[in-house]
Amino acid sequence: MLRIVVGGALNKNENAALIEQYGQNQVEVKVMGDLQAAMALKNGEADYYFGSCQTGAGGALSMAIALNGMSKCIPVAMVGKVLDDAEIAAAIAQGKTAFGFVPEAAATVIPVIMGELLK
Amino acid sequence: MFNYIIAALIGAMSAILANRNIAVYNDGFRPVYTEYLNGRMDRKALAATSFAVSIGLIIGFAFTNSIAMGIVIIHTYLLMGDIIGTWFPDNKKGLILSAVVGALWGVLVVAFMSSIQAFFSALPVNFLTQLAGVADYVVTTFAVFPALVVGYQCGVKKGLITAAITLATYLLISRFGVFQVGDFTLALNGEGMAMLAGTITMIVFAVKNKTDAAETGLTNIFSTNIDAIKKHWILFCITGGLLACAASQCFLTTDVISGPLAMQGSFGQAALVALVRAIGYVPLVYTTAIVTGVFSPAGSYFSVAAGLFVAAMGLSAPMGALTAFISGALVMGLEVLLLGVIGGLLDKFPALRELGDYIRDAMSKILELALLVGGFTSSFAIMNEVGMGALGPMTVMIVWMLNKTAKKPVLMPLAVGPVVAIALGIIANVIMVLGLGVAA
Repeated sequence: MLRIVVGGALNKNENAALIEQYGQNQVEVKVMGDLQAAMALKNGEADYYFGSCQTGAGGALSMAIALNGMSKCIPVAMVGKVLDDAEIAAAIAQGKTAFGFVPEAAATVIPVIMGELLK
Repeated sequence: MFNYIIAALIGAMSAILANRNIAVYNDGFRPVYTEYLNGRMDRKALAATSFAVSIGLIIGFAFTNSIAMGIVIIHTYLLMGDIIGTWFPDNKKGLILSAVVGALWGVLVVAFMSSIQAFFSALPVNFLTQLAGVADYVVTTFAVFPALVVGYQCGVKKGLITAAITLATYLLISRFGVFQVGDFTLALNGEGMAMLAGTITMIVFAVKNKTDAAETGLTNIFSTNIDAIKKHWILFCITGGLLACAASQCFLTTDVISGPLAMQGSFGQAALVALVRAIGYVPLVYTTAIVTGVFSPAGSYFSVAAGLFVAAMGLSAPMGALTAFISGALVMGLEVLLLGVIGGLLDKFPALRELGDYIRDAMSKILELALLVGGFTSSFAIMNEVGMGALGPMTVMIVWMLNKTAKKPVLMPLAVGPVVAIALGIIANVIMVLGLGVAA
């Protein structure tokens, strides 16, 4: 079971639904305040953090970066810059556990991230 | 001339604050500073990150919307200030260079804005009036956003109650909101009052809403960070004063809702919108500031709201600018002073923290739809100038749909309307010049 928290600022429930959908029944998703979600990741109560905001790197990831360090976080889809599937895979292989993205890219990046995490 | 000086000072202050590692505007960039300050990241990587997280926003959001509205959005100055300030080393030489380049950027922005307006109005098809129409539905619908916030936070039923209160207020004020006191006529503004009523309802619902989020004690853990920010209160007061001054003179605002309102001269409503938006940003801005020790050069934007309130008072030029500067500086000083107290409150009442998220969410959703509809109507009006009205909405529809389908969306949804309208304005001119226009 992967324990996933959804923080960030926008579309939390929509993101949680997408994660469930691509989670192949192997995920436990919790929607939280961004601060609480970032803390859960830090304390090991969660394995992965997802968040979205208008820019993909602001409210989406800010608390996760503040509490977990940049080395754990990656904006996978920002305004004007969405990572390729291969780049996302590489980031996950590097040990990134917190993902930030713009809401309009959620439907394309969540399946890719979930596919990688469940490999 | 006055605009150039204020803009240069804003640009310089913003770059200096970033250069001295005191404040950056991008909420997502602030936490990255922790890495730098703890020595896990060097200055070059910091600068590169700053560029990466802000440049898309400057071009894709700040500039396009500033052009479409005819008033500069605060991001245009302050996001670039982040980049400039981090790009130079944090020593004396870097400080001076930051100030100079920051000021230069401020001047460039004002020069660019005024020359683009002049350029557009010199074209055979001057589409500036039609272009401003992009914001028509922003102006007419902004008042309902509290209903959406309540809907997100407390469910559709309470959202409907809020909507009913908002609409009823609008109805009553529009019909009975004009008072005659002697020779003086006081006309209350329907939209503004409706939004105020909705906002009060929203806050009541939020306070009553119970959440199970746990207290984190952040304010105590990071009290040294708060002290570090407070040490620089003078710099923050100056910046707050400058921002308020610029807002009061109608060449700066925080967002795409208050911008068009200010341009129409509805400063009271613009101020109200900026105020509620500022409240919405408090949790994000203050919490990131408290955990990192790096604040925002604009605080949570209350100073801009103060500037717009001063503009609503309609003072004459030198008095208005001066009053705005002083009130902006005071408001910013208060923000710095109360940072820890408010941080503690947010921690005690998580529902208030959530309220901030929902306010930002609701405002951006409303903007997205309103700017899309405005994009349809204004691009029709623009293309109608060359007798091809339908080409406008067709293009908006195509761009919106393909952008949505694209694996890598090129445009932020809320930029589609303004960007397409600007592009079509240029295309309309090309059609005119080539003599392909149809008599309307």
